[in-house]
Amino acid sequence: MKRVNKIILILLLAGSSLSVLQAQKGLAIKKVFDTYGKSEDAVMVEMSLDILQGYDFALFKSITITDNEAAAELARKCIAIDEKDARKVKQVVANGVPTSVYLQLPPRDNYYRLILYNHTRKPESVLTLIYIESETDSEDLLKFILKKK
Amino acid sequence: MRLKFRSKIEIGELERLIDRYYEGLTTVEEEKQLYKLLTHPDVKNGYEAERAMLGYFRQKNTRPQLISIPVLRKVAVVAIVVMSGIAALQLLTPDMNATSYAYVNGIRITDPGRVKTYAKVSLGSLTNSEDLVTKSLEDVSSRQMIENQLDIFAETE
Repeated sequence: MKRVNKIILILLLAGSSLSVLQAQKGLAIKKVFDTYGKSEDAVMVEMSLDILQGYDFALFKSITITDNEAAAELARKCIAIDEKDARKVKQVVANGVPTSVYLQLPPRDNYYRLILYNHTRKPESVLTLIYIESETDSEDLLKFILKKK
Repeated sequence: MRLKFRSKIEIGELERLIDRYYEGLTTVEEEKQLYKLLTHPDVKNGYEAERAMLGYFRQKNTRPQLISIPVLRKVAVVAIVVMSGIAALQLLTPDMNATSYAYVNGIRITDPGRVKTYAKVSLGSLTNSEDLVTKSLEDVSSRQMIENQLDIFAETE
């Protein structure tokens, strides 16, 4: 009986873990994705290795939220928390409010991790938050991303 | 059927069946009944010869450990419910396990081409911040800006 119970427990855990697994686990910005990812004013993207072959990313996750000051405030608060563990921080502040932030986090599981945040207010308020995991060094990765423009 | 051997009537029944067995008069049904009575846990002592004759000793010693049917049934029900739940989840949300996806205004998209497009759009917005930094640096180094600031002092003179 004990063996049967164990098998059932493993099945249940395996099923539930599928929906629980999150790559940005342990980061405060996860809350932004969880809270606003499926809302009507947002576009959330998650790409992993299945369609990132040929790219320098191992994981790409982004969220773009339009006209939502509460979301922007939450994002800024979360970034401020994640910033504490960051190896490198670059940010642009306008009127005392960060409008662009680049956080280089310490590597985890051999992956470099980046958080990119941008908030433009004109012509409309658009917040973009991006989380990237890559085997490529963060600096090179950022250059690669910005070169893509 | 649960048997009780506390009454003399049931012991008497056992004795009667044994007698009939030795006389070769037992029917198939009576031998089944005799089997049940001899193997009952309450009949501990005596009747070894009869048990040996019917081969019950060996059966008792090598008796496999059985899982009771109600427990087995419960386990089966739980397993079926769990498996059905997982199967239903797979059927109702066929793309839930897709590791790459996009949510656009709450609607899930799993088409790789469209997902990539939305990813590129979000990356595109980052260029604004780079432009802003570049522009700020240009402003700082701009001779025009310095001249403008000096002009302010010039006006005060």
